[in-house]
Amino acid sequence: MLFSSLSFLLYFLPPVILIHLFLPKRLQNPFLFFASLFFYAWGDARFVPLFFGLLIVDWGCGLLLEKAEKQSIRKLVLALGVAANMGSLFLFKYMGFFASLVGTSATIGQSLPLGISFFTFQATGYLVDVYRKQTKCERNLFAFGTFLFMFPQLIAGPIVRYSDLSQALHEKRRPEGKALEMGMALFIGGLAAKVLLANPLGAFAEEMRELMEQDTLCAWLYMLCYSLQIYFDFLGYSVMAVGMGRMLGFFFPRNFNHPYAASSVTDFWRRWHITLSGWFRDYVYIPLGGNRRGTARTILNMLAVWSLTGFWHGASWEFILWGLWYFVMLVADKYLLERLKAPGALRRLVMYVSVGIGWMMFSANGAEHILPMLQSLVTVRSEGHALFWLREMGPVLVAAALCCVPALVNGAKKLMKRLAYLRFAVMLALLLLSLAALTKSSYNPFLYFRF
Amino acid sequence: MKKTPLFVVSMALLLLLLAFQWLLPRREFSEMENRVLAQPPEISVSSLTNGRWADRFEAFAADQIPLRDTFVSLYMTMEAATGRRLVDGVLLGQDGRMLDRTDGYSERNVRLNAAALRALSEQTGVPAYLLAVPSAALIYPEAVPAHAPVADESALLRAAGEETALLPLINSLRDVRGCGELYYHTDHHWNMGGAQVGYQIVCQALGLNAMPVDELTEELPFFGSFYARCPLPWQAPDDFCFADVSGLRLIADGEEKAGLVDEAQLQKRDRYAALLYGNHGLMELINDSQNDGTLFVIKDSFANSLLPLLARHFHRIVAIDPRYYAGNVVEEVNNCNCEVILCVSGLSSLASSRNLALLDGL
Repeated sequence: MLFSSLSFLLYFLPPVILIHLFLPKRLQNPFLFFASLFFYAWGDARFVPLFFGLLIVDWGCGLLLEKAEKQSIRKLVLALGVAANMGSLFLFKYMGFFASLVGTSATIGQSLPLGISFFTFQATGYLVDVYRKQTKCERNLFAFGTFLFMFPQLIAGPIVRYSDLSQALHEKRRPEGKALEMGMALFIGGLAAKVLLANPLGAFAEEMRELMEQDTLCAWLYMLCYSLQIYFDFLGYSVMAVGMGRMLGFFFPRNFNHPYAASSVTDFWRRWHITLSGWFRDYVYIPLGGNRRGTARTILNMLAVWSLTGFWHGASWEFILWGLWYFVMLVADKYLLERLKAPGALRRLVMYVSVGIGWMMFSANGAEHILPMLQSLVTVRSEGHALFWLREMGPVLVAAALCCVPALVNGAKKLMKRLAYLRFAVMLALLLLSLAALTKSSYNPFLYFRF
Repeated sequence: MKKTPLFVVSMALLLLLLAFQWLLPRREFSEMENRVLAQPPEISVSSLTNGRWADRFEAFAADQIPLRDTFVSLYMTMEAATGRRLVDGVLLGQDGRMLDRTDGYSERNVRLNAAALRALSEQTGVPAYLLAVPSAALIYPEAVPAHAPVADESALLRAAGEETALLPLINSLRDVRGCGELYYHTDHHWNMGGAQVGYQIVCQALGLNAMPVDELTEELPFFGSFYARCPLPWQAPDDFCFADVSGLRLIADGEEKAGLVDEAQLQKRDRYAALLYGNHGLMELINDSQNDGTLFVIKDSFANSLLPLLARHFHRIVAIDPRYYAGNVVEEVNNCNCEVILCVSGLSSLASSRNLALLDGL
């Protein structure tokens, strides 16, 4: 089920939130667990066994990690648990890619279980945390299942750490009025970002993609539309998740912090998909030595992290190249621009160029398309009715661009915090418009099916 | 409630929509959007596991949402208010004129279809003419939004003229465009004014004496196919009328109809679909007051307003619609002993499909 669907908005969300609100404590976790299972199985029930398999393995490994005293056994259990998670990820997501490398095809991995990249990462992080004794293990199976598969963050993040949720998992969750109100406002805001900004931008991006080889301006408009689409789409999902978390009595971490206002490429990745960057930092980069073992080792560690980050986003070459592209630009930012004390404007310009070109690679849908797409940015042509399209998308582009400016967004938030009536009116209007768009518009893509 | 107005009202709104989705009677058809609405899907094991059931359920939830027409109007208002001039493939032109997006038209399709008509003429020894009706964008260029994604229809018509005998329709349409409407604003078809110009052109080409058209019906308000895709709440209706020629019999796909116009359909939103009872693979118009003369027509829906006028000159018109006709067209022409073949088609059909070129026998 997708958040931005009427099946979810009418049939799933209101009953689940309201029932959860009034359930006694001992039933809250089981209810949330089974609701999440239903949510997951709704579109595609084939992967429910995988869902249960990983649940049992990760839960059991957590218990063993805490119980076992011998370090060798703990290591073995950790290795087994991580292998189970990464093994399923490999099997379903990467088998086809590696099979094609050696010239065969794999029967498994033809279709990707929704959200597998998110919950396998979340489980792996949990096992490592328990192994490092940074957190206690979760003994209650339903509480663990709720942590691992809770529907708000199941299919598109944020990637949550167990320690963020452990307290709420064992309390009677009875969110106060303020939390319900704020949660609903966040949810509607996220829904509007997805339905009213990302979807029209995506429809324009698709048009521009068709025309980019006939018209230079269309190629640039494509870059702009896609960059904004993927941001508001992903932001929308994350904010909806945070909002639903609040209504259920959880605090999920923030996943985006105005990435397009970043001052450098390095800064961009502190603000974009924060929970994923944090995961790679804590479980890959720092264990490899981080930046404490000299420049050469640091660069090597960055190479490892960014190849993996690219590969995480999809099992094909364009995503690996996209990751490597960021590796190069991040190294250049850190070791060239920062050390030479380059002016802020230059670092920001480099950020925009890196991100823009990055999204062209990311959306190429085949590495062989990357070069022609980039060429279309610099080949002068004008046969694509570009001025019509520019005028057509102008208002949406302007609205989206304004929503990228932190001062404006924060100002609007403050104003709405102070004026409850304004918040009520704006949010209700956004909800009605989103419902109208979901009723009539047929364009409502899900971008993370390759994650 | 006092502390949580947004939470309470939003939840209530969503739950009410859910409740009334099941309490209200289901709608089969949306007149406004001119399409069949989805019903609750039936459950089967395979559809549950492969995701199709979820897709169908989402279609049902959207199609049967209470106040659907209001939500659709709200969406349209939002689109238009944010300056959109292309909504669902419909261009919003000047003065409420809606137009087709035509940048997908293919000259190759036009050439293949026109050449097929010439081939039919050569194979049967019967002369053939093409009456290709351009869209309103070509006749009212000032109504088209600047830089809009529209095809160069003049070039497409020139291409058609290089392949077959094309009747000179555009100049006549342009000559009389100041005298009255030739196209609907809310529909892709020409109206009776346009069809009458087409009639004159055909008469000239076939050496017939054009007769005055004095059987026009009373005008009815009409919201056409563009409106169905883009139902703007403030769109003014068109005036709809047709030539109610008496003494003609219509046999569509072997069944004789009561009159030339589907009275039931005429009461619905899509009145144009009432003409000649819509489109048929094979149909005949019989005029018992004429003793001889047979005209073979290859048509799309643009011909439906024109054929009754032409039928006054022939004993019989045999018409096929390449989209629905499955027989052998060469045999059909040979069997009907016609003197002439006429293709009446919107340029849209000729440019966006190869139905004519793909007819059996060619």
